[in-house]
Amino acid sequence: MAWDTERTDINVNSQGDVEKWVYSTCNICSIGCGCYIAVNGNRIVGIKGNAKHPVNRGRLGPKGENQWHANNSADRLLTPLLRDSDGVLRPVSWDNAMEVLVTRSRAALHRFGSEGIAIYSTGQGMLEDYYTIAKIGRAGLRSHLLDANTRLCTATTEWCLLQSFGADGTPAGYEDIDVTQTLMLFGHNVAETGTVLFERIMARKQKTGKPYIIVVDPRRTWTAQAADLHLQILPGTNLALLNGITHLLLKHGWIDRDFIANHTVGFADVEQAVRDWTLERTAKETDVPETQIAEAARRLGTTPSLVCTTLQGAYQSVDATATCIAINNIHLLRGLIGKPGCGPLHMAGQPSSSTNRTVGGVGSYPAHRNPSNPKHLQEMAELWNVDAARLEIGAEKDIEYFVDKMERGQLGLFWNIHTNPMVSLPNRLRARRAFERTFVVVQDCFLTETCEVADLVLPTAMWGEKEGLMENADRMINVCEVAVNPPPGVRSDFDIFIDYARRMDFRDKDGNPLIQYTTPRECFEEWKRVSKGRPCDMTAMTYEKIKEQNGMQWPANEAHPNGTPRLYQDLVFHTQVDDAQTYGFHMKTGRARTRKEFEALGANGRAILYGLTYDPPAEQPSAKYPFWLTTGRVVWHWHTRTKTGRAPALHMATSQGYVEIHPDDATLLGILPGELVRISSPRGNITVPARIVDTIRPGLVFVPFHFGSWQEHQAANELTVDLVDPISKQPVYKQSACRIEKVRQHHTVAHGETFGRIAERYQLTPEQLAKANRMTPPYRPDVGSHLEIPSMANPVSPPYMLYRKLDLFPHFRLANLDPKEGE
Amino acid sequence: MDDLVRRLLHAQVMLVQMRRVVSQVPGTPSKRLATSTREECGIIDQILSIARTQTPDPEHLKERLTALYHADATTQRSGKEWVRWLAWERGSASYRERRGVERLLHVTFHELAACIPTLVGLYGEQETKYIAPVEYRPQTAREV
Repeated sequence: MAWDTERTDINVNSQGDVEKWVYSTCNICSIGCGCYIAVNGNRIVGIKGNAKHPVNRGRLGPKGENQWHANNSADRLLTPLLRDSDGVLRPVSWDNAMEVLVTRSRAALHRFGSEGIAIYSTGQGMLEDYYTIAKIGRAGLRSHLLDANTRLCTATTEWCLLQSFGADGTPAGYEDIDVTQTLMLFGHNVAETGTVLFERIMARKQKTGKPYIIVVDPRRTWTAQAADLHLQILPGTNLALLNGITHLLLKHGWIDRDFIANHTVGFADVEQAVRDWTLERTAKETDVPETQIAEAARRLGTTPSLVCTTLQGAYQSVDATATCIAINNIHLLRGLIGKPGCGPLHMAGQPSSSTNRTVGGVGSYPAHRNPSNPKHLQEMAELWNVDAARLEIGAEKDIEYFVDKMERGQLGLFWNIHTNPMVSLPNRLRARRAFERTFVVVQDCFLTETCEVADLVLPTAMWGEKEGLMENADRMINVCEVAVNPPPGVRSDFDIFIDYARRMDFRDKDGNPLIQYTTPRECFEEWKRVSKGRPCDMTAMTYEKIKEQNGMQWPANEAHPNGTPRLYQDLVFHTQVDDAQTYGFHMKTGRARTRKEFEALGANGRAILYGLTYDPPAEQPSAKYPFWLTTGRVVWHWHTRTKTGRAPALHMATSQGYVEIHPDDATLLGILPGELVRISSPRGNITVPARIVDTIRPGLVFVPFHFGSWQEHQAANELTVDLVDPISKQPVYKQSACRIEKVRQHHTVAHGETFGRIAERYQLTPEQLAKANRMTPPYRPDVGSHLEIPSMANPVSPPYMLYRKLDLFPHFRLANLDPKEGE
Repeated sequence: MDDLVRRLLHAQVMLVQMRRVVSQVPGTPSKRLATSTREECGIIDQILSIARTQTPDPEHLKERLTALYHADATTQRSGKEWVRWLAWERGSASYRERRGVERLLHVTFHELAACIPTLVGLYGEQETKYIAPVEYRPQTAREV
């Protein structure tokens, strides 16, 4: 077995023994690693991997094993804060804070009706938190305005699954990666975003040579360096590539006609859409060599098993949903779904973002119910014991819709839970202006940039201080137990929601409190009843059983008492009209289909194939903004570093933002390694040091999105476009246009000044100063002449595998280890 | 029904004008908005055709009205994106086009919102919620 317990990662920092190890699940990324929290004297002092957990077999990623430092951070928020008439956030009691929240909520409802309050949550909470948000939002506030930062992260996962298969839930799981012959990682830099899964893939690869790995990414990432075939695509051409590959599958007959006939609808549309996507056209559009495209198609067309994963390179690009559907199409055309080693595995990003989708905290109706189907609404009304007429009809609204409402002064209260939109939203200056027009509640463990626009701040318990369940990227429900009591003065999210519902006096139709459970476990019991009979049925789960099994994948019911590792093994999809989670969307416009239009597809349990039209990105390089800008993650940080920035090892590894520039572009612009440059887009600018690397395409620059505006002016989202995918409403972070300018002082050479002395004065080497001024030896500037003085920083971000000393990874270059590279 | 027809005809004129403006600006946002307005105009044609029959089929009409409101929701969003995008692409020189499209979007939206009482009369309040997204329906103050 390739994925064995070969080591158990431990990171403990204790002056004494560890008193106890508490069962938990990592709260950083979506992989869902099992772990134990080390406790000494009601203080978390470390973490170790759960050696028996099937997901990680004892391993932890660098962020996972350092996450606990944030719990002990000296700057935890310990009391609610309310902005006073002087505009200053001042401490108030919980009672006062909750009364303000309730008073402002009532005022918003009175002024704007049900659409006066928006709740914007997270992908890092617990199932029970999200379910309670759903119940408060839909049945209490009766609002459509429920969304989460998962919209920015991986919303496309949900919508591509709905379109193709009728319901959420990724078909394949990690077990399929373990046995597949071919793995395509599409816009998924797993080496940095999910290090344990990457280790799992590479462990098998090292031992058996399998799977054959195809990576699609415009950057030669660490993942790409481990690939057998890397398609270094032009930004924004994902769908062009997939249309070209599909064209080749059809041309060579690499399709399963029986499967298509028996289990899909829409094949003719695919044929029509890819007819003109010849190899030549695809190569021209994507700038990938024809031989590579042909080889990729051959591999995908002839492999007996295939798993395709996607992440933000697909989700945050133009044509996001269409791209992921094109990947679903490939699986369906080849009949590679519902059997071992086969199926799309559209990844989640955060540790429980899938949970939020499943239980409805993001505004979807709980348990994959269709908000436009009266039968589903009636079911919810009965489960919640409310009048069906009281439940709002129609799909949830998204954060861009909220911002638009705020801009127009039509939102009375914005409740922001465990997310930092003032750093993470695209075109963040516009977002900030909008936020300033409404009453903003921030619920978080720390002050963040978003607190600058907050009127009320509610301090919360963190991971390890509260109980609950999380669902990872392959539908596995895991337990988080309480390791320590939260610090005095803070409350769990769950308790805040329960208190809010009580104070708002939400009632069911019999006059009883709408929310009657008081603990997460009681909440889970209610949720199980809600999930019964739906795709995400969890009726066979209990906290104890989940813990005993180290995670359970839904559905888990009478038929599958131990859970379900792989969906659609019966090849029956959720496309019966009264089973489907949605009637879907028109691919060309993003318009919601009517029930009749959905029925007209005639799917009835078959998957849906789509013909897809490629559209280039809206914003492209121009004379004024000649570079592509893309944004993304580094291995050492998570989101806006609210937690990882407080872990010393992670902060030291990458303490500031930077821009990656190709050496050819740096030479053309005369930019030195490490030199501070200004990156400007039509929306704003940032100043970051240049990291000159040949892993990026010429003409493209990369800025990590973790960094905000408090320490330095380095927020990538000052630059990004706030345009969204028409179906998933996910922002197109990956394709904006920008320009790069040097930020240099000028020095006039005085009598008696030597070149070396001038360099020393500005903390430069003579070589740096000479290069900045394009001088050749001997360096003797004339008196009175002007020299350009660059500002230098050290933007090194060391590779993770080096730190891990995993010698199996063969693709490192010595250049990566050379500190001069980043100077 | 006459009021509905009159308003939809007016909305259709706005949409045609909008398409004319955006078709002069190459780019994906223009293409998306043009596609959306074209689809919306087509749906209005279908509704008018149903409405002009001697005995309009209320279920068929309702289904097409549902398509129309969702198409307009798409147009509104695409239109707002187009306005932002054009400002980045062409700066202040595009002010007139942007304002023009904003006005056309506004009028279209309000014509559809103004049809809601007719829909409520035809189908009742609850059914109307399935036809028109929340932003088109009047919001009433809530006391909790």
